[in-house]
Amino acid sequence: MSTQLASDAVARFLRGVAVVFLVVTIVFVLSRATGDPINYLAPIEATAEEIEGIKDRLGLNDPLVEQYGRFLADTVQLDFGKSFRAQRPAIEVVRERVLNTVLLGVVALVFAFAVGIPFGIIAAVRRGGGVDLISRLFALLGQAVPNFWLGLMLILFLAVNFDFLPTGGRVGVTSFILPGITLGSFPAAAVMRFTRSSMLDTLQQDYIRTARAKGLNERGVIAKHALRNSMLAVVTLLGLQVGGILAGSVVVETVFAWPGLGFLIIQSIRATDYPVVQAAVIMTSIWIVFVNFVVDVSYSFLDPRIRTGVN
Amino acid sequence: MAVDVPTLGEPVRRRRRFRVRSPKTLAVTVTFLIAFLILGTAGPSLTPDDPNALDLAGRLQPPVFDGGAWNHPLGTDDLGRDTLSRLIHGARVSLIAVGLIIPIATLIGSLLGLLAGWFGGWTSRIIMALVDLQLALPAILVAVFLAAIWGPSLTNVVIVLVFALWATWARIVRGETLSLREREFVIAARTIGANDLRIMLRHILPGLINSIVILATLNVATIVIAEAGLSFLGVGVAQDTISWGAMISQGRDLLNVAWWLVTVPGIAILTISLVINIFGDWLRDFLDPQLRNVR
Repeated sequence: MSTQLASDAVARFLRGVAVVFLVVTIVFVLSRATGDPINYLAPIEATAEEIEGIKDRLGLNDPLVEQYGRFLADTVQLDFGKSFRAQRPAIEVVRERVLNTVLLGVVALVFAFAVGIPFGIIAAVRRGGGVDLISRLFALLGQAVPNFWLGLMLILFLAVNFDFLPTGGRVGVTSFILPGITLGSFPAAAVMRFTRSSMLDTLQQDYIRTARAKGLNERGVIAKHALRNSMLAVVTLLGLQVGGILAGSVVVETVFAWPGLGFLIIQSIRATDYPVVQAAVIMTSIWIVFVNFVVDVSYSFLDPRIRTGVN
Repeated sequence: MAVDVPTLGEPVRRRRRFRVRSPKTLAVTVTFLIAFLILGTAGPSLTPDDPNALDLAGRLQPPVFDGGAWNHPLGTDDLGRDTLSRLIHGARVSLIAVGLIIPIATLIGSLLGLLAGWFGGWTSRIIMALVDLQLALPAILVAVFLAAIWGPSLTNVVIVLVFALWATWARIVRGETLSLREREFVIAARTIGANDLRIMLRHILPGLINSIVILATLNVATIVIAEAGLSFLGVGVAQDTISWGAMISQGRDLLNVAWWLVTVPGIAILTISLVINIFGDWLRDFLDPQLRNVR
């Protein structure tokens, strides 16, 4: 059994490596084989001599295959060149921002689950009731409201009335509130819907009827029998949300000038700081692949049913 | 013999009380959609003002219901440009994005899904690996990267969103093809010697049309919202193109002075997406109740 688990993990890992390799290759093909790469590989203000220097150093006059080999070697060593703006290795600039993005993402996820699970349960238990109606209204709106606009509306309506809420940057704990809500509200809707349907499924199982039949009160049925069994499915949702949170953070961080990776990417685009953009894009996709790998493996570890369904 | 029929548990209550499916809702929805189509196509020639005309005397004029005047019903921005005219011109970009992306993504996704489902084996494995790749590379990253090397443009938006969405069709179409290929009429066609192409086009494809159309409708709102988001970040359409996302981005710094610059385009996006989604839900139930849990 455990060898099966291990070989699954290895297979998944290799697939992850293949995906990263593909991403790096796509980045290379797009950046070197279309147009004149010197347009973005050199700072705008570079002189003709500097441009020649950069061409020499990057070997832009060499055959593409050679360039590709060098590009792969550099990427493996996490060498993405120097940031034009910061005049430091791009990977350093990226690394400094990671913690802020992770913190914001964790806050958003905690918010999503703290709101989504209770409301999902109530919506399922009191099906057709007020909470159920409101939660469905939110789900419908959630698919129609752009998250950047939601953030701006929160600033407009909340930050103006509540002075203690900062509208941008990271100045203290209160800085997490608005971006956290904005980033967490879409996953919250997803968690809510998922909890609701998972609870509804569980409530129709035979063992729930048995629990009721033996005279257990409704509270006991829901808390002990229904909730625990439906939570397993909800936990699997956690992994699915990570990619969405990372993608959403680009937008939300930009709205709130949050000093994280997403805002860095947008700032670097505006400053035409190509090495940082490239480093951030490649590193982010590596993290996403890694997180998915960890999530997959831990699920198949936790739930034997997933294990058997691997292929 | 009036006997109380004992019920087991609660009676099943119809729970979609508020996702209204009445003909009235449908009529309102369709009206909105037609209005959007007209504004998006013919709108620019109907607009009261040139969307780029400056009116420095009438800068930051509020909408008419907030103390403004009828010459600019939805107010003006910091250069005195008419919000309503810009809104109508912005609809065109959304419409063009939808009009380009939906057919391309539908075609690519359905074709690859069909091939993967019909042939299985390595064809399927390679196509599904591409689906995986798309999961590891969020659209926003692709958009940022393309903007960095090519500069922002509508072409980028189309490429990015086709890349992000084709897998939706591929996944569903593959699944349905897998089940269709085991059906008697397909086996019969094979028995009388029909070739792969003929079976796929004449026997399988007709069975897939409903799902393909439903997916297309459900993705329209996604595209409208995504285009706005990318343009808001400055990695969507070119800087001088009028789009709802770009309007919100420009109005952002004036949020406390001129609330309408951010609010109005946002409400436009919200309304259109909501209307399209309600229509999509209706269409899904109408064409194929089994697909109710597509997303």
